[in-house]
Amino acid sequence: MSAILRVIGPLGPSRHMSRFTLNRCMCLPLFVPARLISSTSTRFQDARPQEPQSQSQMPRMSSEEFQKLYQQHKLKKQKERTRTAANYSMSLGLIFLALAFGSVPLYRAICQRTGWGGTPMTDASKITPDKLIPVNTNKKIRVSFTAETSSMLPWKFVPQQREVYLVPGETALAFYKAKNTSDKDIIGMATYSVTPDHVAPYFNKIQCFCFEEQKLNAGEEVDMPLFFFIDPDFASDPAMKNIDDIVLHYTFFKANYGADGDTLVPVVAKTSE
Amino acid sequence: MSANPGNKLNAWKPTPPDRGSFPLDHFGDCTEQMKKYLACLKIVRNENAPNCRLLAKGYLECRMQNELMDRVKWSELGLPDDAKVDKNATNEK
Repeated sequence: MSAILRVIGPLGPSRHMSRFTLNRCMCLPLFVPARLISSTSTRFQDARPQEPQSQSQMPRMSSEEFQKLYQQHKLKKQKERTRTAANYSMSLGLIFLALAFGSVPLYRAICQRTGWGGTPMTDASKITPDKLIPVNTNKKIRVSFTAETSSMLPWKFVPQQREVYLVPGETALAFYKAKNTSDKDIIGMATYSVTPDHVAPYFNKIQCFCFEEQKLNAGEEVDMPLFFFIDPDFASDPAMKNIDDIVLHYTFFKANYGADGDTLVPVVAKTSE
Repeated sequence: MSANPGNKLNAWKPTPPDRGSFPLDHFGDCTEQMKKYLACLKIVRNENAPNCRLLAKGYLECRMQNELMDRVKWSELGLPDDAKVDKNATNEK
């Protein structure tokens, strides 16, 4: 087929074709095999003096043939092109789909590692012993404790010490006391807040009683300890220079197990009653 | 939580504790140590004094013994090791 193309040359009316093809044949001696050269040259040498006849017979035929072949070739090329394009677009779609599915754990992993966007870094290995060295300073920071319960929770929840004076890097133990004043077993869940807000990243809790359900039996009173420290980098942060008073506030909410029996759901007061 | 208009866009969320939550001491196994610690705190007027920290260590030790807390090295809790504190004590850790 390529040989025929070479012979016939570019598209054009059949009248000019023989002239073009002749030139072409002369110009491409290297690419055309020897036997073809002889056959084509003889063919066209024969054709030239008998131009009108050959044009009437052969070129028209070859033109149709050529057109057909060219169309076939074009179709094949187009098919290939569309196939390639389809492959590319499908793979692109798959990549984005995979990214969409994998983005959640990936994002979580990256944020956990780098603490991007204020993600809490709860890596237990973050509290290394070298962070727990008290800073050698005279200025003690006062950490006050406050407590609150939701109105739906019939517990009496108080801190057992009003405050603790400590130095960044020093671990401290604090206690809260909770008493279930009702006659039913109640599950509560605590959350906390640190004031002022920008101290919060420096406030590290090693262990406390928050974020997990705490079940108190009817009439039971229990001591809830809290073990924490302030990151030693607090002392070297210029933004924290004027801070010597931190308030740690715990709030207890009532929690129920949801319909599926697995998830803990906070119980909030109904507003439409 | 912070309705501070001029502040950075820190949507601070409370973080879970690093070692998880303390299991509740329903039976009051470590109440004695806790009372001692609180009394000490009252005496030193709530300063986190070294002797009170030793009592805190005692409380946590009681918790660990009663399986209310995972046993960890004291250095990881920022408390002095046993060997340094009491030369006569058997080296447990």
